[in-house]
Amino acid sequence: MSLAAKQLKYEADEELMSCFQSGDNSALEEIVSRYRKPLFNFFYRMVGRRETAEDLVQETFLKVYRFGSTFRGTEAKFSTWLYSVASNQCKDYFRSSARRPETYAEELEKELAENFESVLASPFSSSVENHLIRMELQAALKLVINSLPEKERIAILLREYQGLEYKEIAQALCCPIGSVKVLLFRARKRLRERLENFIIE
Amino acid sequence: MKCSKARILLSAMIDGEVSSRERFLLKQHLDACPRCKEEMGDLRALRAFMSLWPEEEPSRLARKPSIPKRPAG
Repeated sequence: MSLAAKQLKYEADEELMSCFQSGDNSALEEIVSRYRKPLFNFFYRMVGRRETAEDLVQETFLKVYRFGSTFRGTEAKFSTWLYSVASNQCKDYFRSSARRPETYAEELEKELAENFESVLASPFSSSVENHLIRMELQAALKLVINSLPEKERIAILLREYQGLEYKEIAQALCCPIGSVKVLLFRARKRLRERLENFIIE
Repeated sequence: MKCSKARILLSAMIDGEVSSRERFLLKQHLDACPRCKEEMGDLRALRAFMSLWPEEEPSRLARKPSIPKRPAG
């Protein structure tokens, strides 16, 4: 690793974007390595298809490349700006006519069948049983999160899995903080109602 | 405080997103309302349940998103 690359590893995101805006592409490569996995997980939880999630990650970084000059580190954290781009990518994806509403459930069913087969191929034990139960609970959680209205789903994913604060979610969704509070309250209410039979307190 | 307002604040409280005044008013409400108090436990159980969905690695790890080369100068 070169000295410059080593130094980039310790720079704040906003500083890296400033370097990129000054023409240093390696700064953007560092941004990519920091955010590839969290962005992938955000998209995967939103769309339910690994390949689609990976394509959306690629498209998001291309947008950062093309429109990175419009980012102002004095106005927002880079992560907030990035998730704002990612949230818009999701909205565009769901608006596209190519997507059928049942796709997510179909994909999940396929994934579950494959996982069940591999687990069942191993000798039966209590750990296998626990694994199967865990898979079933995960599948229920995925389906119920997927059933949330789009804006609620983005808000709850940004909060629970990406760890964004309300102010950041508000910026990413272009809405007031009060709306974020209500979106999260409604999302949690729906999740609890729909997962009632699975959640043990 | 009405239960409907308290429930929204409870959701914000588990995220650490309430002001000290809201926290004070909420505590007063919870002391008098066992159903809203129970709601707090439900929200925590939901959060624990949601942690069942772990982070995953992108499957095409070898394929890093490509950044176009900028023309020199």
